[in-house]
Amino acid sequence: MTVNTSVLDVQGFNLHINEHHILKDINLSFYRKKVTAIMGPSGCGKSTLVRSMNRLNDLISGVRMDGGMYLYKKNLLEMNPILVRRKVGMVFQRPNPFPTMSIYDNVLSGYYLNGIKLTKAEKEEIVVDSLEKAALWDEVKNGLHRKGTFLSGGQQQRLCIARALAMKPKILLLDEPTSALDPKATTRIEELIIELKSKVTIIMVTHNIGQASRISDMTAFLYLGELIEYDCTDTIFTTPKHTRTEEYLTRKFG
Amino acid sequence: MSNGSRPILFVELKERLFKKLLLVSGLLAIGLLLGIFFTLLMESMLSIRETGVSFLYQSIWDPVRETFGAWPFLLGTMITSVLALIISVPFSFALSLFLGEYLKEGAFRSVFNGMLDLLAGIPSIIYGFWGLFVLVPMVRDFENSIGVLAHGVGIFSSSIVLALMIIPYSASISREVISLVPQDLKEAALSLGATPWEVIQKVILPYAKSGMFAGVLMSFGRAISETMAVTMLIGNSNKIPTSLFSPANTLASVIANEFAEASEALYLSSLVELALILFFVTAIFSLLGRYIIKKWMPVQ
Repeated sequence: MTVNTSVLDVQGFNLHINEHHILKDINLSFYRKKVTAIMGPSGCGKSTLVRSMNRLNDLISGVRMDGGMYLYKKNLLEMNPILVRRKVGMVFQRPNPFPTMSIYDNVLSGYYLNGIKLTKAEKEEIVVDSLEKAALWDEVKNGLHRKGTFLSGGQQQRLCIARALAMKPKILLLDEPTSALDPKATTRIEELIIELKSKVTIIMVTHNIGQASRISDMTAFLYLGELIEYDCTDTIFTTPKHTRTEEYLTRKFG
Repeated sequence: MSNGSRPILFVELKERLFKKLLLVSGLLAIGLLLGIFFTLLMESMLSIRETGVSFLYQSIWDPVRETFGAWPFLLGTMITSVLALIISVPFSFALSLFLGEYLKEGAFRSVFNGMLDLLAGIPSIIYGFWGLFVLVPMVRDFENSIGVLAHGVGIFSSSIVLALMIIPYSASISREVISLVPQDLKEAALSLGATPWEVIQKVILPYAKSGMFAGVLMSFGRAISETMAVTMLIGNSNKIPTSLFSPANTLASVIANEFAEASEALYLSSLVELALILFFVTAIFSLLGRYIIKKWMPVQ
């Protein structure tokens, strides 16, 4: 596989919470306009790793991070977390549109929250563009001013994706985005992720081995806080180098 | 197995008895409420028949001439309670946001929370004493300095002490309401680049505002019915208050002040009618608060 430019380089990254060593010397690079899946059994630290990338772990008390996470060569661990989060969007396990806001306002909520003023035309453009990218436009265009919480779970999750995309992030983090959805909604989201990778770099945590093989270009396998293997998804799934990876993929554990 | 052979009939009987017991205690509570209501109603019948609706707007309360109007006390109650609310709301909201959002863990938080609960548990007579010995002299000096008649006791002093008394109560209600805001939503806002203040302003407050408003109403119900501390501080005057510094009486304080000396039937009955009004007003605010929390809190 031709290695193109990396967007995010994680170098010698360690994370402790109090005396627990959660992530151990992680080194890996995420490439532009690729989907990277992060897999591993429960408790291996995959969510923690992803949540370090937009500094949401800062909220945990007793957390200590060292090493580097270079977003376009700048260590995001040393940047202002507010700025990092505007560049690195995130979608969570459970769909979480703001219940007090309409669909329209949910898409624009990143701008509202940051106090950025937009003209009516700019708003329209962002809303239409983001909802189209999130493959939700056709379903909601006639009810943009209804509350986002009236949508189905899968639609809500696509609304959350639209909300993240509206901020034009460099990277989109997806933390098990389909684990709360039914199979049909899951398929929609998976199709969407494949479409989206031409526009944004995607890093996705998933429990679902099949999902990783279907939609990711690169796969990282984490086990007990260590990065066991990182390679092209094809390679990982056909000829894994480590027995741990192979055992996990053949569902011997995890 | 002795357990396995226990007759199912016996278990069922126990289950049914337990349910009955719960039902009885529930009915007892309702019975108590209705009992109080009808007692008040019956005892105030004489006054209701004698004075009629004018009881509510008649501005003279003169037991000697047997003229009974509740207006000075209604006014006194509303002014002290509203003033207390105005003083307390900024503090209790700030306190609840501080405890709910900024000080999320650690020893300090437990100390703060513990003190808040302790404050809520202090008997109101102690607040009254503190008010008399510490606050009233200060208020008197203040009144002297701005050139109003210096009573010290009166609406102003009562409202300050009332505010202190309801802060722990309303802060703990809004703290609970704020803690109902899903962590999901806060994280979503943070992940979009919001600062903690922006999260409070644009996610937490819109979500929690109806609950916080309901908390204010419930605190208002509390302030209206507070008796002991207000009786000590309000100055026991049955005239219509003319300023925030006037001595006055609230519904509760006039009952406490005069109940022991009410010897004539109509006098006593009029005091009971005041109690009936108080009963209604507090019930309305408490019910309204609960209704708003139930009805308007957004659901996820």
